[in-house]
Amino acid sequence: MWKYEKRLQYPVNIKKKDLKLAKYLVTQYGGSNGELAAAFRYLNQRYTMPDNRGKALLTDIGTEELAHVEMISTMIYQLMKDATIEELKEAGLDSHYAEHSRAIYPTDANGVPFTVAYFATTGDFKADLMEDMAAEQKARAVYENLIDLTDDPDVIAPLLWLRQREIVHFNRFKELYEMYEKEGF
Amino acid sequence: MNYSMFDEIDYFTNFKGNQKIPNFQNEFNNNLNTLEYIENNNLDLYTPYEGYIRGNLFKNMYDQYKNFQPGKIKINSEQEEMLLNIGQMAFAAHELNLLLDNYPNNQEALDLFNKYQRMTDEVIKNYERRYGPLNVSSMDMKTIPFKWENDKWPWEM
Repeated sequence: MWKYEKRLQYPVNIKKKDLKLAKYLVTQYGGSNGELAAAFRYLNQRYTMPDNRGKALLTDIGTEELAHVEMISTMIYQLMKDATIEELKEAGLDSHYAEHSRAIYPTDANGVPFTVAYFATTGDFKADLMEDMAAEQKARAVYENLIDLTDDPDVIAPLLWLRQREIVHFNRFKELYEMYEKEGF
Repeated sequence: MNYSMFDEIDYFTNFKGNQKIPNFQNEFNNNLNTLEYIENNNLDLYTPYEGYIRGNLFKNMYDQYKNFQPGKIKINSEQEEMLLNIGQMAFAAHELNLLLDNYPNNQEALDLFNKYQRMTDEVIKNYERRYGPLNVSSMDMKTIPFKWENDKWPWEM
């Protein structure tokens, strides 16, 4: 089961509306390398890990990714808050408005809706952990692209922070993979 | 000294206003023997605050992007300051949790995990007494209206 704590893992306080950026940033919510895909990829893979280290690590990183979903959602919400219809149209978010009004909705930066195909689970723990390492690297690369696309320090700080989490998670998955290799799993 | 316990002491005693975090000073004084232990261990860690602003508690794992420095967390109120304390302590405990998942027999990591977890529980309790529940299981829920729905939600802070 899960419990909710009513706070963000790292603070998000964006004061400047930026609809273009919101449109790009949404990929870390609903894109193939986004936080939602990461959370459920790991939580879905944990059942078939070969020992308790893998079950624990995938449970705990998967859970942390849910907190990152909340951070990204908060960023999108704050970037889009109080947007006028005209501003939404200018940013190319008129089609988003038609379907979802001002709600947030998980898509990639091109508006392609989230799909469970992103969970990428084979049941082969080596393939799955290798997938997870690649996923963390891809998410790191996307965070760097997003940082390059903005100059708002209120946006850059949480993006840098989330990027660093990808690095820590990558290293933990890599350690586990290498231990399993060495121990002949 | 890679890991400075004194940074934490400074941090906790530098609160603005009348805010007091009971027990911490005693906690630190009682734990001075732990300090020596932490200095000599193999874990090369940032302090909870330095780790928190980076999103990485482990010095050997930190990887800077271009010339970007980690953002300083701005504090505009006592409430935000208390949230920062919760954030940094919970983050330090979580980082050690992930390490322990892979290395369940690391005694040094386990001791630090327990220490930061205890501090997290303490700062959450103090926060909840003052600003309302962060957890629906909080003790601070005995009166109507139902306090869980009060105050701002995290995306509105």
